[in-house]
Amino acid sequence: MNLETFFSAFQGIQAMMASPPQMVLARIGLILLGFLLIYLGKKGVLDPLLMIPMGLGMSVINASVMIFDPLNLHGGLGTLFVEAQAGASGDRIKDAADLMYILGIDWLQPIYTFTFSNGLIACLVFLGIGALLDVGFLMARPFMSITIALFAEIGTLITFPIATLFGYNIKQAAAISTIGGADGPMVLFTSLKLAPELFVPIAIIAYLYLGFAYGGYPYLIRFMIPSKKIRGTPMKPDTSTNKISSGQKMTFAVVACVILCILLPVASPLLFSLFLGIVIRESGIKPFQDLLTGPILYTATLFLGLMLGVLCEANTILDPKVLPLLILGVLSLLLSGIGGIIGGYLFWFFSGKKINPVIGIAGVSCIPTTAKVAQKVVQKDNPQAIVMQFALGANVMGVITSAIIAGVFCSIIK
Amino acid sequence: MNEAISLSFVTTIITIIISFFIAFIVKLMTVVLHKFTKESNITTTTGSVQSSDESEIAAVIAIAKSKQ
Repeated sequence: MNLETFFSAFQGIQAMMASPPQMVLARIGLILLGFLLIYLGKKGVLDPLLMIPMGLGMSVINASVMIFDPLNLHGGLGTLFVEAQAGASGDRIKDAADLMYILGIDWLQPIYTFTFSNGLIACLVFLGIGALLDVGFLMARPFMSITIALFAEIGTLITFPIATLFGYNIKQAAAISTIGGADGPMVLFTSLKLAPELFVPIAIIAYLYLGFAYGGYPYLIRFMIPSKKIRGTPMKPDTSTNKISSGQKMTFAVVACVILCILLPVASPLLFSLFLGIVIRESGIKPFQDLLTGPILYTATLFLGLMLGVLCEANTILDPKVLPLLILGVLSLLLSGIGGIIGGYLFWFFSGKKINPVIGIAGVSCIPTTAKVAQKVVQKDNPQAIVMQFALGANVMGVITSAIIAGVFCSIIK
Repeated sequence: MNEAISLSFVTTIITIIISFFIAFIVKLMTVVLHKFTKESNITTTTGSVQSSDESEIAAVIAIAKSKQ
């Protein structure tokens, strides 16, 4: 028995030996990164719901590469998990045949083909988020919430032209810039529509950075609002939210959904999912509410994390187009945070210093993370100050504004 | 770059218009519907707590209410 026969019993090691050295290093690096994500998820630094399945998926996909490439796409190496490039050649007959063939081989291929490549997973997450959203916070102060949310989209709008300087085409640049909206499902949806070839790295970077937003934004707030007194500005307790009935909220959701779908039909699956969740919440149909906020939201989140992890194969990540994404993602989120705080400052100034500028960060639509960040920072400087209700209004509007921008991008960029 | 700047500008304008249109609809709806809504239909935001995030938010809001 020679050494080759011995290693053929351990296909993972054999595949490592058959790979170029930089690929081996990348795989080992990604396995370790997966461990780190699991650790940070367990510690609560990053969102455990996403990071634990994502981390394990990332480690395992890079460990289980073997000499197997049924569609001849990766020079003889592959896995039994998923083939994201199957059905992407442009030849419809070949694509259909490839997809049917690979659906019978890769165990996660049905999830990818039937829920990711058509945006269903983003819609399912949005259904769950909608069922958790209380639009009363937005309806109590629509103009303030909307203005702050618009300021917090600055990152998206500025990063878009900057991304073209890094060599990305218009569609890719638009998809990348949506990271600034800080809305995971929206980033998934837009990148699938505009730049499916970059969907994997964009989605991974977006979710990684969104995880870090919880830890990073408090530093940005303290940097931009250095005065403890201003950060701790108390706001008058709000009673207007309680005066909004579930019927009013439902009417708003129905009307806004129809208007936005007329204006932006490209984004209608996402808009419909969000508003359907809101309507179900406000209609009081408890079984549906439980279904959306429990099984559907958690199943979608589990498969989202798992799929993002298994799509992190070294081949995908070593693409030279991925590296600038790391910079553009940070830039986009940073500018959005800065924009949101500037919006908060404007209201602080024009209200005669009665509105806490920290709520501006909640315009970044990472719901409810940024609203919680605002409350946490404010409460640290003034334990008596409660800004959560105001922050949530901007937060909810941030989700709607991000959906509008995604819709506009998908409509005007051909 | 120029194309991206102009597209970004167009997106900004359209987004501002749509957003403020939605805000106007919300305001109008809130004012009009409030006249036809009976007090009994009014629900509180803490009425349907769903998740740990919501529980946390509800707790903060409950503190705010207790201060009123």
